[in-house]
Amino acid sequence: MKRLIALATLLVALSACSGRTIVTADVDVLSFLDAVDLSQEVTVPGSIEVYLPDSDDDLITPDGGYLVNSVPLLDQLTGFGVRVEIELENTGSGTLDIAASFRLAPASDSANIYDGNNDVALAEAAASLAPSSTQTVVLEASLAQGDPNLDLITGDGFRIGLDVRATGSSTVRYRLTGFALTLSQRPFNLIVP
Amino acid sequence: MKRPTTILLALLLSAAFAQGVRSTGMGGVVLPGPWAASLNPAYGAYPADRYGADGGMALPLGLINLALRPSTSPVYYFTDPATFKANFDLLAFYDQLSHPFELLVNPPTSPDEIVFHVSADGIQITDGAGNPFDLTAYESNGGGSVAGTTRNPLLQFNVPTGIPGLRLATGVFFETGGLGVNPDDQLLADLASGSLQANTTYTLDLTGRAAGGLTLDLGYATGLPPIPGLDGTLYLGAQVQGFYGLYYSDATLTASTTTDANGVPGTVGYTTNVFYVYPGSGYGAGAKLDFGLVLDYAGGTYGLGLRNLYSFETWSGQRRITDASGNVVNDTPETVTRSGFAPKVYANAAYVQPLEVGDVLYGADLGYAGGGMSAHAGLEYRYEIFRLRGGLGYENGFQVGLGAGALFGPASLDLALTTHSAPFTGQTVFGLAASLGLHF
Repeated sequence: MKRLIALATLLVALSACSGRTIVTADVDVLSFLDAVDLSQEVTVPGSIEVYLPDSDDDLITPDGGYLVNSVPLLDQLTGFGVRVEIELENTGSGTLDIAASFRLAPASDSANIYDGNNDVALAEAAASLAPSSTQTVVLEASLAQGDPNLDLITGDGFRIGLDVRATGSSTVRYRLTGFALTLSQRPFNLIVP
Repeated sequence: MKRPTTILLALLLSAAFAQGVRSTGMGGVVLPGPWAASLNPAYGAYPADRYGADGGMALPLGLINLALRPSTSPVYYFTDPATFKANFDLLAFYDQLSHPFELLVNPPTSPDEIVFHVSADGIQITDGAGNPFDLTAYESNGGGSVAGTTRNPLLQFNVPTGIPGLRLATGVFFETGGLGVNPDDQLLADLASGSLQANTTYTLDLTGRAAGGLTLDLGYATGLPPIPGLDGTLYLGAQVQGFYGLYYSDATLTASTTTDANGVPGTVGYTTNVFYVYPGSGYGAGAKLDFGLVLDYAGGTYGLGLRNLYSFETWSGQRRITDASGNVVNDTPETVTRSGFAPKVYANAAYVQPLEVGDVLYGADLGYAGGGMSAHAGLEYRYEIFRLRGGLGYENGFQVGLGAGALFGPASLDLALTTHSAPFTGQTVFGLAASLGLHF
C-alpha cells in the first residue's frame, strides 16, 4: 500500500503545483485495527488503565501504540487533526469514572508513548457512568502549522494511542466507533521553500 | 536609410501569425487569402483584398500576465517571494506561456484541494467536494505537431520576391506538446478501485516535447486562364516548406513498480529517456511538399490544400537514458528520421452576402491530419470601417470566438475574445487578443 500511495502521490503532486493547493489525507485508523482492539469488556477492580491499540498483547501495559507510516503526507505538514469516538457501556453494578486521552509520539518512541517522554497528550475527555448506562466519549484535537507538536510527525511516520483509565468497581464494555486522522500539506512548499 | 527602414517596418507589420486575431474572433476559421498559403499554396496567388486583410501584427498581450499576474508570473519569485509562494500556479503559467498572444482572463487553476482517503481497503482520491479525481484528464493528448513534419511558425516574414506568384517566407517556430501524465490502463483502474493485482507491473509516464528553429517556405501559385465550361477562376499552387531545427527535446519520466504474488507493490523505480538537440549538440532539418487549388465560383471561394504529400525530417541529437538507480545507461548520439506520405487535408470556403446595410462574410474550414479533425465556422458583419465577428471551432476541444475590428485608412485594429480548453483540467479559459496592422 505504501508504494501505491507513493505512486499516487507523485501523480497528484505533478498536477498540484500551485501555492493554494492543499493536499489532505483522511486516514480511517479504525479500518486498520484488529477486531480485539475495537471492542472488549473489561473488569474494573477499583481502577484500571488500558492502552489502545494494543501492540504488545497486553492491554494494561503501556506500549508503542500504533505506528502510522502508510500515509501520503508526512513531511512539512500544515495541519493535523484527530477525532476519536469511544462508546462506553457500564455493564456492572457500580459507578465508573472514565478518563481518556489521545497520545501522539514520534515513530522512534516504540517502547512507551504514554510516559510523557517525547510524547504528548493532545486530547483528553472524561465521563461518569452509572450502572447500565452508555456514553460516548469524543477526543478531538488539531494542530496548525507552526505548532511544535507537528515536529513529532516525520517522514518515518508517527505513533498514536489511547490511554483509558477507569475508576470504580464494575465492568465496562468499550467500543471504538470512530478513529480518524487528517493530515494536510501544501505540496508547493516542498518545491518552493 | 529611409527606404530600408520603411521596408523593415513593412516586413514587421505584415508579419503573419499562425492564428490571426481576425481569425480568432471568427472561431479560428482561416479565410481565403495569401495568409492561408501555408495551408494551401494556391492562395499564394490569391488577391489579398478579396475578403479583407487578415489583421496585422498580433500584440503579445500574454506578456502582461507573465510579468504582472501573480498566478502566472515567475517574476515574483525574485521580487516578492511571499506573493509568488501564495499565488503562483504552474498550470496557469504553462497555459499562458502556450498562448503568448492572448491575455488569459481566467488562467486555469490547479485544484484547490486534493483528498486522499486512506483505509485498509485502499486509497481513493477525490477533490475537495468529494468528487472522484479524474485521472484521465491528466493524460497527454499526443502533443500535436511537435513530432510531425508541419512547423507552424510563431512569427513569419514574407520576403518580397518581385516575381508574381512566387512566395518566399521565413519564420521562427517554437512548439510544445505532449505534456501529460499517463498512467497505464491497469494502474488507472486499480487506483480507482484501491486494490492492486498480483504479479503486475504498473507504470506512470510523465511526457513532454518541445522543438524550436527556423522555417523557410518557397512556393509558386498562379491563376489559370479561363477554362471553357467553367464559370469561375481556378488557382493552382505548390510549395516546399523547410525548417532548420535548433532545439528539440522529447522526454519521458517513467515510474514503475511490480507487485508480488500477494499484490504487494515493490520498490518504485524512476527511469528517464530524453532525446535532445541544442546548438552544438546537433540539429534538425526537414522539408515537405504541399499542393493546393482554389476555385472562385458563383460569388464564393472554395479551397483544398493537400500538405505533406511527401515529407522528410531528421533530427540529429543525443539520447540519454537513466535506469531506476539513477545510473546513465545510455548517452549516445542518435539520429531520428521520418519520411514518407503523411497527408494533411485542409479545405475552406467563404462567401459574402450583401445586406441592405453592410454585408456579412461567412467562412468555414475543415482539417484532417493523422486521424485528427478540426473544424471552424464563423462570420463577420462589415459596415463601413467597422467589423463584428463571431464563430465556433473544434481543435483539441471546442472554442468560441468573438471579435471586432476597425479600419483607419491603411491602419487596422482588431480585437478578439476567444476560448480554449486548459491542459490537464479541461477548464474553459477566456483570452483577449489584439492586433495592429498597416496595409500598403
